[in-house]
Amino acid sequence: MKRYPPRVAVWCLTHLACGDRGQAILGDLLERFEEGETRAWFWRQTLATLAYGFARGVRDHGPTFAAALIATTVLFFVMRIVNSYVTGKIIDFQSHGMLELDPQWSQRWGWRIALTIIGQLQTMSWFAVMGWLVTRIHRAQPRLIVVVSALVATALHLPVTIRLAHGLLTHRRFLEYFIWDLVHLCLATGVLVVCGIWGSRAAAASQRTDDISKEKLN
Amino acid sequence: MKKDALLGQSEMLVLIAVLRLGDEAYGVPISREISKEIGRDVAVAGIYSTLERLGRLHLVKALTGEPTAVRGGRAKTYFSLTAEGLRQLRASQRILQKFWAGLPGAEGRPT
Repeated sequence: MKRYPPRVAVWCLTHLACGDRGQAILGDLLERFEEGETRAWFWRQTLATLAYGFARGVRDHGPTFAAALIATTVLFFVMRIVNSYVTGKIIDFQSHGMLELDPQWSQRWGWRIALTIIGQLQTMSWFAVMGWLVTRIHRAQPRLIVVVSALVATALHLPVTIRLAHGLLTHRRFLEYFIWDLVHLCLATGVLVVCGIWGSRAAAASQRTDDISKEKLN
Repeated sequence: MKKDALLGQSEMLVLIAVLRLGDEAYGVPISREISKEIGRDVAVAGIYSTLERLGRLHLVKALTGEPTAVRGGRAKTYFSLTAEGLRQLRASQRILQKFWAGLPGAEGRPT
């Protein structure tokens, strides 16, 4: 029976381990796996490769790496401030304006879904900008910085999730908020990763076009 | 690098493995050779990191081979010692042997 290496690990190495060296390492790991190494061994080597890549990124491109992480943190807190202001306005609108428009609005699903979507889009837009921006700042390892940025944003949001999980222990009504928070976080970080990867591809494509134009001119 | 400076442990291990393997020195046999000698598994990425450092110091040179199916279509990267690499390795060996020599009970030989 043919053995297959862990797909997620191969994906991580293909997309996150940078350059020719990353591909040579993946080739070596596949060869040794074919010769009988275990899946656990493959995973250990994958994590070690990513750790070395991370350390290399910090060592070789420290300033841009730090700048990208600072940009993530600053944008996260700016998002919080702006979102809480906008949410405050929405709550005011809900409690005053909406009641004038439709006194029964809170019992209607349409309104509730619309307001939820607005809140979600608000956060997702911020995360999209975050993903696009970090790949522009740290161009040397765009995919790695996107993943690290997503982890940083998740870590910054973690206190809210922990508070909700703690509330869940005392009141069951927190379950709805807790689940919604997790969905909200997953969607937002997903958007960050997708926009980051899309941004890095667009940057690489424009770089290639520039290179071709320069070659033609020369 | 300063002339005749003592190479680091990982640098010496990698250079000796490359020297032993000759024309077949690429990631897989190098990592296997080192694992066999030190008695534990080593990170392949760590070996590449050392090789890259040695490459920057012009102690090893790399050559890309043909892609193979068993490696998912990825090419092997072969490594070989440069004349300077061999000289530095021998210099490190001499420094260590001189340091061990005359040590009571050790005599420069492992037990």
